[in-house]
Amino acid sequence: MDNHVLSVNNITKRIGKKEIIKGISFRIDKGEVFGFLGPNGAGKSTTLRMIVGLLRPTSGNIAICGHSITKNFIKAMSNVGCIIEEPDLYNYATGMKNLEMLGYMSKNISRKDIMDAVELVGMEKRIGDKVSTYSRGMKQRIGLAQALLHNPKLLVLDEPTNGLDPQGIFEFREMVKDLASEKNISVLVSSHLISEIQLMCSKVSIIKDGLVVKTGAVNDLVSSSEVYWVVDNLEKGKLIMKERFKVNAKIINNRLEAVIGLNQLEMVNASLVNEGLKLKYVNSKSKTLEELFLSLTENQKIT
Amino acid sequence: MMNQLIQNEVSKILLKKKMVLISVLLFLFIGLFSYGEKYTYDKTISRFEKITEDTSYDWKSLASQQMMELEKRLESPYIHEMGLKSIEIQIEQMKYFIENNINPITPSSARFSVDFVENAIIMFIPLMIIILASDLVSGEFSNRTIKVILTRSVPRWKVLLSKYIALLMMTTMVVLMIGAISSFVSFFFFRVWGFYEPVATGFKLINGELDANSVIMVNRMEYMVLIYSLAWFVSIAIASITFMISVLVKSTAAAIGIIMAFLIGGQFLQFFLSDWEIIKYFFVSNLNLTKYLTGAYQQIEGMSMKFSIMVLAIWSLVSIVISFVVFTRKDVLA
Repeated sequence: MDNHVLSVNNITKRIGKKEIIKGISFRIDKGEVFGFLGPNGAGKSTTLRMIVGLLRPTSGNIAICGHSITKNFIKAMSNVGCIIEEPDLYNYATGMKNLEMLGYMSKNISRKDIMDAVELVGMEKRIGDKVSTYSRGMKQRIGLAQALLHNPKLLVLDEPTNGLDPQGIFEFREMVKDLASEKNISVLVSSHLISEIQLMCSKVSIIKDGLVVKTGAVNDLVSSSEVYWVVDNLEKGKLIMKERFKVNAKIINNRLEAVIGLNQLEMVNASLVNEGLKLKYVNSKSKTLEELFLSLTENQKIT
Repeated sequence: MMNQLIQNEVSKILLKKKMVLISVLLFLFIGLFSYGEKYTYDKTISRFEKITEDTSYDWKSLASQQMMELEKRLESPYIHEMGLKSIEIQIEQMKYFIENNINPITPSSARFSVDFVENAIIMFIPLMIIILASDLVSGEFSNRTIKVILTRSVPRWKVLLSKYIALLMMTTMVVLMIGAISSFVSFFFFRVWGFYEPVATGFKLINGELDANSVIMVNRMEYMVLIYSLAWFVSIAIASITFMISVLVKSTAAAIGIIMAFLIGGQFLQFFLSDWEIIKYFFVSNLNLTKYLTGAYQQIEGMSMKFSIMVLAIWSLVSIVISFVVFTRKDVLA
């Protein structure tokens, strides 16, 4: 029995002859906001659809709060709320009617639960109007309300800010952050926007061509920096870095270059000096998530 | 739980104002037809009065007048074989009516509502059902709300079952509405209810000849219940088949196109390829259940009420099974 809110184990998905997802695994803990970053067509949406049971994985398994999505769909899904792509609603009905209809689809949802969700997203005033009269931002709010109706432990959001204006994006982001911190809901959010993930998430997986290329805490990923040293003995310096810090340094333009965490930098410098190297110059260039993303996902071809 | 899911589906149908659309269409066409029938009846009377210069007519003299007209048409050199047989059968029936004192002429509300269904059963009623059923599932795909309802903690078969039950309920409603609207609207024109008139039913065709030995007499009311039950059965079959198509395709327009092509194409097939054995197993060839009661001319040999009901039942069952199998396994990419 694992305690993760969501655990995805080596899932693959083949559609037709093409393998879209080639084996993705990750876990989300309670209250964690987990980002899923990748260029368009990397398989973000497909993975998310498998997690919410819209697609059946070709192999591998997914468990939500310990319940397998394929073997125990009902129990697994009662812990998940989601917005997949657009917040699609019945345009011919009012916001309230939409929520009531979806409320009937879960057990024990009272009118008060519905009103609470409406209040949470700040739609009290327009809830009696037809959805066809709503703006994009309002639809997104109702979308969030329907995802939260049954008090899920996991919120899955697929490209949630697509088509929202800057104000809408900001409000939506704050709402999601509040949910995670106040209600202790775990959130899985996918996006191709780096700033989005950087501002919202605590942990991120970067995926490309159906594979996870890197997973880590956003802070770690952002604070790793590209450092170069100018020392008298480059080969020796390279050896020290490899043996003591397991860092693969490169010799470029008569200087030593490596990517290391900023917290390691002082220790590396001290060792170099202790080993008798003459350290002439050290410079570090902080790498942004954007640069990391671009360097990991470059050479993208449509296959 | 199930009750609430069905309630959801019913309110979706109602919110889309489909029942309103169907009632408007019914009022329009029933109004038009009953006005038309009133008009022809008035014309028959005035022609009769002109020919015989007799204003104290009864239905028997009108009926024999009509029989004479039919006989005259038989002598026409331009008539083709099918029409010939159909007219011969009509004359035989007319003879039977006069001999047995059954009024086939004076229009009444009850007669109209039966006649309407007998004529509407192959096309008009199926169309009304298609309005209801065609977007039931495909509509959820085209406006992409399918993602929202399939990610709740409800198994897919329950979602589909609630839709099917809601469809059956609404189909039943439509058949009842046809009965009510056709009775009331036509009463407005004819001013005669006629629910207790006698009706002769159970004419059989043996080798293309009318056989009156198995005829039984019932009153209009009982006959109406019988005819409407048949119409209801046909509607359920059409609803089930349309439902399956709605599951199989993702666009409502495609669903409507496909079922309409079946309906219209099927009528063509039975007309042109009536010798081809396999045509009688096609559901469209079996929609006209009421013709087995009235003894109308049949294009395809070897079909009976029992046969048609079996064929429709099998088509419906297979449709439901396919719908459930496909829907519960479908990958939702919309």
